[in-house]
Amino acid sequence: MSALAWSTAVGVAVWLWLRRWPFAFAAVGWGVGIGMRDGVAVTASLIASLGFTALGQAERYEKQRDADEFQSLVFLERLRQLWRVRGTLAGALDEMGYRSRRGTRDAAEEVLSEIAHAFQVRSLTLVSTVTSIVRRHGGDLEPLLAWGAGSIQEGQARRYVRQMEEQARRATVRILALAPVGVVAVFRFFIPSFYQALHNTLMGQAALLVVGVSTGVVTWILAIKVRKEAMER
Amino acid sequence: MTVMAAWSIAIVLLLWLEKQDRAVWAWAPLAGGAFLGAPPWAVLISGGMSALLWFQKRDRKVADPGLREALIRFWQEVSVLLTAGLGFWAAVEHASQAEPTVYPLISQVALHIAGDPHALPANPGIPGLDGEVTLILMQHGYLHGLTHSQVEVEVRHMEARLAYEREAKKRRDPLWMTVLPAILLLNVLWIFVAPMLSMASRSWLKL
Repeated sequence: MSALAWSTAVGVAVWLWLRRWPFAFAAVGWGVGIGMRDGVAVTASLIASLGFTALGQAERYEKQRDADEFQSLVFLERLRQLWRVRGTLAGALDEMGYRSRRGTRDAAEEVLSEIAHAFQVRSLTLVSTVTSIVRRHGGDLEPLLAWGAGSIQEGQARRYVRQMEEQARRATVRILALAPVGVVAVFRFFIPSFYQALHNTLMGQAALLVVGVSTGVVTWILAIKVRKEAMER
Repeated sequence: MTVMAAWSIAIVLLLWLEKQDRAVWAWAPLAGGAFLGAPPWAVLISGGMSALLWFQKRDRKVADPGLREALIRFWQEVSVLLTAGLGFWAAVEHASQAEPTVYPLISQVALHIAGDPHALPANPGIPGLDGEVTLILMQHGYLHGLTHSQVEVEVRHMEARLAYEREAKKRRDPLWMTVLPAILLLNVLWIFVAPMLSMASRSWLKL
């Protein structure tokens, strides 16, 4: 194996280890490269697998953010119901199982602020900010809590409509990113002369490298887009 | 090459100083280079980078969401304080002090209204329709008072406007989602074309 393949392999392994990302895609990359018995193929597939790993992690993060948003919605709805019954924020939080003490660092506004900080959902953060600002004068929080829950639901509805279109395109990207592997496999088993030309010539090796790098870059860009989108909840 | 080097340094400086608005000047040496016969790859790369800068500039030109979010927060606070029994002016004062982003703007509007309550005050820089609504609410609140439900209705509209603008921005972005599959489709083409070309060149040499 060439020095390029070794250095890429080490780079990918270190990167995955530092980011604490799984090695599964990189292992598949190794497998493809070793199956082709080619240093350039190993390099290309490892670079592509890095992109796939980033995309997988971004989608995992997206799921986590969706769960955070759902939890915030449930929390706000419950808080609103209990606010009606108990009449105070501390009372409502107390009934939900959060212990708060007046005049200490565990005051109800602080507890709410900590919860908002944990979930990082915009509407919940806004509700928490407003409650902490109006704590001196008090006031009716019911409309504010209703607004927070409604805002999350409306945001979800808008996002689902947009994601219906986006999911199809994401699937296209995934299939097209894997297509070159299928094409190379077809060459390998059915058109050996083509496979030899890809395997042994400079032009074929350059094509493999271009394919690996562009697949890696494209999936990486998609991962950044997914992550950026998932941050806004 | 000298033109390209100068262009690259200029772009780096513009990026470093965060002066994307002036990045349009990056097109000038690029056009000169193209005219004088710079290599096509250089023109392509520099053109791509200039386009990226333009995109960045376009995104930055969108009205400051931080200010509008602060304005929404401000009116939410006013609404809750009104339910607590505070007068309109006291609620505005208390809420604006809690929002340092909008405080100077709100205090400017308040001074204008206190000076001449019946003339609509000039907008001190609150962007878009939200700014106009804020001016009208402030004036109406000063002259006739406001209930918390009136403020809530306006806050809902402000929030919906901001959310729809963000959504529209995201829907404009799927250009990426069209470009990315196209690049990947080209990959399949390379895999076919590279062996064909190498085989063709070999057989041509044999001839």
